[in-house]
Amino acid sequence: MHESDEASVAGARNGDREAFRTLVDRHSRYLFHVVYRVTRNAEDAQDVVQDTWLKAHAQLGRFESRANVRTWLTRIAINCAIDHLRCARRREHACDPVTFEQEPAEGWIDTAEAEPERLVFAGEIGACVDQTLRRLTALERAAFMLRHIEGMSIDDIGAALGLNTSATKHSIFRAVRKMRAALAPFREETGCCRSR
Amino acid sequence: MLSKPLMRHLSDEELLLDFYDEGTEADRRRVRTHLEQCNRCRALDEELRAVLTAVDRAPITEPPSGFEREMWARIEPLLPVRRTWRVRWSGMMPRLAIAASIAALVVAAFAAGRAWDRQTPELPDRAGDHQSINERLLRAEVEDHLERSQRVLVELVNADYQVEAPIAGDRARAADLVAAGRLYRRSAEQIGDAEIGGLLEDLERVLVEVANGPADMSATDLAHLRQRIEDRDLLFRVRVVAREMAELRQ
Repeated sequence: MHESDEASVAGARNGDREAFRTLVDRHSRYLFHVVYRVTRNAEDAQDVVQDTWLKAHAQLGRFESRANVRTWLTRIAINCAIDHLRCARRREHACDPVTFEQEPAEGWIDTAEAEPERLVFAGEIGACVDQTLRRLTALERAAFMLRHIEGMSIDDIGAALGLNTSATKHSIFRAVRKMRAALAPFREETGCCRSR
Repeated sequence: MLSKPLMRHLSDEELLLDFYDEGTEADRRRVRTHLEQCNRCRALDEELRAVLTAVDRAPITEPPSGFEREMWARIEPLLPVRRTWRVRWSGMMPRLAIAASIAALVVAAFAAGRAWDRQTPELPDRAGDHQSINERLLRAEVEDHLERSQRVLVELVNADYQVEAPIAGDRARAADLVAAGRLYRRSAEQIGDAEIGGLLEDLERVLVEVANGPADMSATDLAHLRQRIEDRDLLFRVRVVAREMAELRQ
């Protein structure tokens, strides 16, 4: 019989390892997708999913039964992903964690100068989007992906990222603005991004 | 073109919030009405929707097959052994029972000694002996309690901020110590040992904080806890009293 997530959490909280394993089996793939969208790196995403489960296990006692297990896990995963990016940035650049909200070290590349002719194919728009997502700050990327892909409300995203509503909105706005700027040349030259 | 020249154009932000259904019903109605009338904003809206649709084309990497199994293999050895409340109580009961028994004996002996004094003043020494024996028992138990508490305090003071859940292992031990320590404190207070009573009370406050705090205590909380231990000279006092008790026993 298929045990509900809530029952599995309750079992895991009482020390039942198999109940916790059920959660791991059920949600690891989903968490990988969520985390990958923030880290844009498969190996990092696997490490972050591992951290997520360890943290979730440590916080089982804090899970509120009226909350949704997947949402709870998503919040932990996003915070782990952001912590991971912070640490990576600190290790690589040995600089203040504030840079977490700054542009990536190599700077913003205007895709209008980055071989526009190779981006005329629809499949390459995906590559352009991927490249653009990688160049967002971790905070912008996390806020934007949670809103756009996970469909979380701005208030919930703010709660997960520790931001107020206004700051959350502005992170998303900045991400979209950069995405528009990156895709602008292809839209003008090929019209391939134009909605029908 | 706008039918009403004074109507302002929609901002990117307004269009984005509308796309994500984040605005109020009134906001959505206003945006819809405006888009019906304004070619410029409608073009902008179409462009924005096209960009956001394009985001969905971003390639997503799938984890390898067997990812869930591999993930369990990675985390399973790292999971702490969690004890159920039944296991926790069964492990704690002997010590709690000892503590409660000794506490009860000491208080009863003290009360009996006073009653005996009143009724048979010619035989005070036997009651005094009982009281003395039970006080010694209590002191031996408190000595053990202080030594075990000292180990928790030392680990707290030396915990590494960078380690995940730095005090996870201390929480269960702190919870056990709180329950027993409370009984010892009450007994000490009842027999008028203010020094031990005060020390056990200060100790209890810190242990309660550890027992009820999160396993992954933040660096700030940990620093705050250390400051409390330092402010009250708690570790030093625990060491001194435990050593004095050991010397007396020998």
